[in-house]
Amino acid sequence: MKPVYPLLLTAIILLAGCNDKAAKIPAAVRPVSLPELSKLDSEAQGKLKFACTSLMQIQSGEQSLPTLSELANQYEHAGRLLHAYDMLDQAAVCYNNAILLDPQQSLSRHYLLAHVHRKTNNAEAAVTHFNEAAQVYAKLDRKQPELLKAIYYYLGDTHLALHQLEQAEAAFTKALELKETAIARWGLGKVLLIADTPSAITQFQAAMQLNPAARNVHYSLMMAYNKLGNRRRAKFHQQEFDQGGFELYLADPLLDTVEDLKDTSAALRARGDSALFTYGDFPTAVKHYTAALEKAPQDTSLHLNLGLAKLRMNHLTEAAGHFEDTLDIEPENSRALTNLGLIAVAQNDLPRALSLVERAVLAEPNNHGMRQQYAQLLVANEQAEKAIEHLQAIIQRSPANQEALTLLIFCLLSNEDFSAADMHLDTALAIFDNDQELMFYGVFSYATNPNTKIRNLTRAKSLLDKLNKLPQDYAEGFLHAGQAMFDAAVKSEMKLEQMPNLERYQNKMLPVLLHYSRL
Amino acid sequence: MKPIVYLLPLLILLGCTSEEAVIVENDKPTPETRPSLELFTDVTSEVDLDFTHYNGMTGQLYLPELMGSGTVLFDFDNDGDLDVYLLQGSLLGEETSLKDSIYPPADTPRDQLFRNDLVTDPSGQSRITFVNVTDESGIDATGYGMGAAVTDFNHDGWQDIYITNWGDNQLWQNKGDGTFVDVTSQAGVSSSQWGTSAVFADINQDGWDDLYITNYITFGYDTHRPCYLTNGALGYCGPKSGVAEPDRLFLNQQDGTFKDISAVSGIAQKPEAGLGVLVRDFNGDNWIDIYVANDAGHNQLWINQQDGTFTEEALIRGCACNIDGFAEGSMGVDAADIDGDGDEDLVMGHWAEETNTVYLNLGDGFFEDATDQFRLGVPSIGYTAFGTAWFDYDNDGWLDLFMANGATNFVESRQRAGDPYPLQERNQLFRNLNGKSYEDLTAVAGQLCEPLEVTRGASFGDIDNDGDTDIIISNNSGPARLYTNNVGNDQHWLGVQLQAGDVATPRVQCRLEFHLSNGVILHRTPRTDGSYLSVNDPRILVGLGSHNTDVQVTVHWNNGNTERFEGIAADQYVTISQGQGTAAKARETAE
Repeated sequence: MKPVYPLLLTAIILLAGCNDKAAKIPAAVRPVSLPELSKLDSEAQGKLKFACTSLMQIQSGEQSLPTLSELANQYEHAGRLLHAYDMLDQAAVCYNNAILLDPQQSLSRHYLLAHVHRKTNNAEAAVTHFNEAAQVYAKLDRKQPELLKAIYYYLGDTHLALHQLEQAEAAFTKALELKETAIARWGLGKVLLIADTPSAITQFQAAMQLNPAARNVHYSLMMAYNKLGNRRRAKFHQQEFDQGGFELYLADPLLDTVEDLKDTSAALRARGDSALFTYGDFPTAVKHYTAALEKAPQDTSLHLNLGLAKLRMNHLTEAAGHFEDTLDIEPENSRALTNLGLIAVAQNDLPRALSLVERAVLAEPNNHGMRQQYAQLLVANEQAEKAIEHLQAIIQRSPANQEALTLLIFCLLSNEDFSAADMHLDTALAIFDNDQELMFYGVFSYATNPNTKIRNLTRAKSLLDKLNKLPQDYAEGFLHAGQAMFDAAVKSEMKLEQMPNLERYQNKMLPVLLHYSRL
Repeated sequence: MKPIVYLLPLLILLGCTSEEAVIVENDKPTPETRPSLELFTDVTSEVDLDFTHYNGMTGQLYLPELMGSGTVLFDFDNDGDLDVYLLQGSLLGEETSLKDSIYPPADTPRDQLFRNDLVTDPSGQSRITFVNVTDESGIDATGYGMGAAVTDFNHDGWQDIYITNWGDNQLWQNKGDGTFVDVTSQAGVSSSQWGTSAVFADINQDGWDDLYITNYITFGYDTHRPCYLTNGALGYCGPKSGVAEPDRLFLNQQDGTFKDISAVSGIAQKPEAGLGVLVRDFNGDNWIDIYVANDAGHNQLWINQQDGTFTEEALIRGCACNIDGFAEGSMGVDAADIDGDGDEDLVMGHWAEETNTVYLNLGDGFFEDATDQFRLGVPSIGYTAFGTAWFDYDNDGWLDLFMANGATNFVESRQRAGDPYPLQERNQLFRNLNGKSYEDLTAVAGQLCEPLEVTRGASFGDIDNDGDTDIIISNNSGPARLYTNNVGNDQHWLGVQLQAGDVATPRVQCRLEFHLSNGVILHRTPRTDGSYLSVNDPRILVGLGSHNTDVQVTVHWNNGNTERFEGIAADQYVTISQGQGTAAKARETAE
C-alpha cells in the first residue's frame, strides 16, 4: 500500500495546484465556449478554434495560467476574431473579460466592445463603453487622434439613435474640435435637423464644402429644405442625390484591424465592393480584390469586380485583362462580356462589341440592361430590324421601360412601321409626357405617316410646340412636309447646321428620321 | 406539518397572482421590472388550425425558400366571422421529389382554407373552431404560394381571392356556395413573374376595385448561383442576385375582366424588388396612392394623377430611404395615424443590420424618418422583420406595433444550439406611449413574443369578434399560429364595417374620424393590405380606452364625399353604409 500514498499525494498536489491557478482568474471573468464553426471555411475554423480552445484550457486549468495582462491580451485577440466573424455574444464576453483582467490597457477593448453593442441592440451599453474608451484615452494614450475622433463620432451617432440630442450634439462637436470632417458636420446637422432646420442646413452645407461628392449630405439637404417648404431647393438636392456620388465614411483604423482578421475571400470581396460601389474608393477596392484573388484565384466575381474598379479608374487595358481572366474561367460570363463590349466601343471596335454583347445576351436573356445595350449597338450598326426583336422582348417583361420604349419607337419609325410606332408612342407619351426625345419622334410619326389618312397633324403640332429650340428646329420640317408644304420644309431645313432632309424636301419627299442624339 | 407543506405552493401561486394583478393595473411600468404578461394566448391547437408551412428546401439554398408565405383573414362565407386562408410553398429544385426535402411534408403541399365556425354564447364568450374546407372549396393552389389580395371584384356579394406565386398567379372567384373557381385567364389577370404582395383598390374612383401586384426579382434554377456570407459560409443570395421585375396594375372593367395598365399608368417604369404594398390617400387629395416596400432598393410612392397614371415621388417626399439616404431591405409595411394628427404614418420592417423605419407624415404627404424619435430603431437592430402592423392591442386609442421576425442569414447562436434551420428570432411588440414614443414590451409580452421561430406573414383582425385584435402568423417551414388577445376588450371599443354602393362586401380605402365626447378625435383607415404577403380584417376596430358613451363617426369616402353618423354606442360592431349618414363638409371635420 505504501507506494500508493506518494502518488495520491502528488495527484492531490497537482490538482490543488491547478485549482489554485484557476482560482486566480477573477470571479467576474466569464468562460468562453467553442462557437459553432462548421459553416465556416477551414482557415477560419482553425483560427477561431485555436484562440477559443486555448482560453478554454486556461479556464479549466488544463493549461497554465499566464499573467493576467497576457490573459487579457488572449481574450482580446479571441474577441477580435469572434467579432470579425460576427459571433458577437461571445466577442462581448471576451472583450469584457479583457477589460476586467487589465483595466489599464482597455482602450481598444472598450471601443470594440462598444461597436459590438451597437450591432446587438444595446445602444446604452455602447454609449457606456465609448465614454469609457474616451476616458482611458485621456488618461493613457493621447497618441491616436484618429481613434479619439472615431470614438466621439460613434458616440454622437449612438446618442442620436437613442434620441439623446444634447449628448449627441456634444459628442459630434468634440469630434469636430479634433478635426474638421464632413461626416461629423453631417452628424451634427442631423441632430439639429430635428429642432432647428436652418442651423442644420448650415452644418450640411459645411459638410458639402468638405466633400462635394457626398450624396447622403444632398439627401439631408433635400429633407431640410422640404421641412422649410422650399421645394425648389429640395428638388435640386434630390437631383444631385439621384445623380450619384458616394457615401461619407469615417476612417477607422482600429475597426479595420478587426475586419482584417476576417480574411476570407468573401470578406475581402465585400470590403472591395463597399469601396467600389458605395464609397468610390477605387484603389482600396483594387487592394481588397487583389488580396481576395490570392485566396480564391478561380472566383470569377473577383476578377470581374477588379476589372470594374480598373474601368472606373479608366485603366482600360488592365480592366480588359481582368475581364479576359474572368472569361478564362467562365467563358460565357455575361457581365465580363458586356464590359469588354463597352471597352470595345470605347476603342471604336463596333463589330467586336456586337459579338461580345450578343454572347452576353445569350448567356443572360432576362437581363434587360444587357439586351438594351445590345440593341443600341445594333442600331449603331444600322440593324434596326434586329434591334426591334430585342427591344420588344424587353417591353414584354417591362412594359414601361423608358429607354427601351424610346429606342423601339425610333427603330420602328426607321423601319417605316408607323402603326406599331404609334401604338408604343401612345403608351410612352402617356407616361413620359415631357420627354423631348419621345416628342421629337412623335412629331415625325404623327406628321409624316405615308398613309395620309392616319396622319395626326394636330397632335404633331401640339408636340412640336412643346419641344425645346434645337429639336423643334429639326422637327418643324416634319410638320411642313406632312402638310405637303415642302417649300416651307426646305426653308426650315436651311436653318439647320446639318440638313439631313434638304434634298428630300426639295424633291417633295417625306423626311427620314435622325436619331435624337445626333441632333 | 403536512398541511403546511401542501399549502406552500398554493401560497406562492396566490402571491404571484396577486402581484401580477397589481402590475397589470400599473400605469406605465417599465419593461425591466414587469414580469411576463399573457397579453395574447396561442390557441392554435385548441381551435384546430392545423397547418405547417413547407418551404420546399432540399439543401440548395434557393432564394424562394427563404421568403415564407402569407396569411389571409377574410369572411368567405359571409357569416360574420373571419375565415383563414394560408399560403403554402412547394418543392424546389429540378429532378427532386418530396422525399428529398429537408422537412418532408405530411401531405402534398397546397394552400389551405379554414372556415371559422365561431360560436358566441349568451354571456358573450366566444369559441373559435376552424374546419379545413380546402377540398370542398375547389381551391387547388399548388404553386409556390407567396401572397394574396381579397375583394369582391365582380360585385356579386362574395369575397374573391387573388393568389401570388413564384410562378403563375391565380384569381379564385367565390361562387357563394362555399366553392371557388379559377378565373385567372378569363379575368385577364395572369402573371407569371415572382409575385409577392398584392392589393385590390379603386384607383380611378369608379366604385370597382382594381388590382396591384408587387413583383420581386427573376429567379430560376438555371441562373441560381451559390452565395457566400462575408465569414466565408454558404448563405442565401440577396435581391441583387436577380433582375428586379416591374409591378403590375390591372384596371377592373366592371364586367368580370381586367385590363393591364401597367405600362400606361407608369407603374412598370421603375422595377424594384417589391415585397410589401399599401394603398392609401397619402397626400389628402381623396385619390388612392400606392406605396411599395422594396428589398434593397428605394421604396416607391406612386402618387395618383387622377387620370389613370401615377408618378413616383417617394424620394422627394422623404419616404424612399432612411434618414441617412440609404435604401433599406424593406419587407413588411403598414401605414396608420400613430401620433393622432390625422395622417398616415409609415412603418416598415428591415433586415438585421438595419433598423426598422418609421416615416412620419408631415401632413401633406411629405415624410421624415422619425425612427429614433419613436424609440423604434435601436430595439430592431439584430432582428429581420417581415409581418408588420400598427394596431391597438390594448384598445387605449393609440396604435401599437407588432413586428414578425425571422432571420435571413444563419444565426450562429442557433447553429451552436444544433438547430438545422437556424433562422429563428423572437417577434416583437411595442406599446405606443401617447403618440410620442414606443415602449418595447417584447420581454414581458408573454407567449406572443416567446417562441423563437422564422415568422414571415402576419394578419391582424378580431377573429373571435370580442372587440380586440388577434394575430395569426405564418412561420417559414413551421406551424401557423393564432394568438388571441386577452386584454384589449378590458377597455371600450367600437368596430365598424363599411359598405359602399350596392356592394354588400366590406369597403376599405376611406378615412374615418371617431369623435369622442371628451373632444378626442381618433383617425383610422380601414385596410386589408400591408404587413407582409398577407391580408387583414377589413373592419376597423378602434380602441376607446375608458370612454363608453356614444361616438360620432365621420367617414371621408374616397370619392370626396363626407358623411356623419351620430350616436353610435361603444362595445359593438356596426355596419356603416355610404349614403345613410348626414352629409358633412370635409373642412368642418378637419377643423
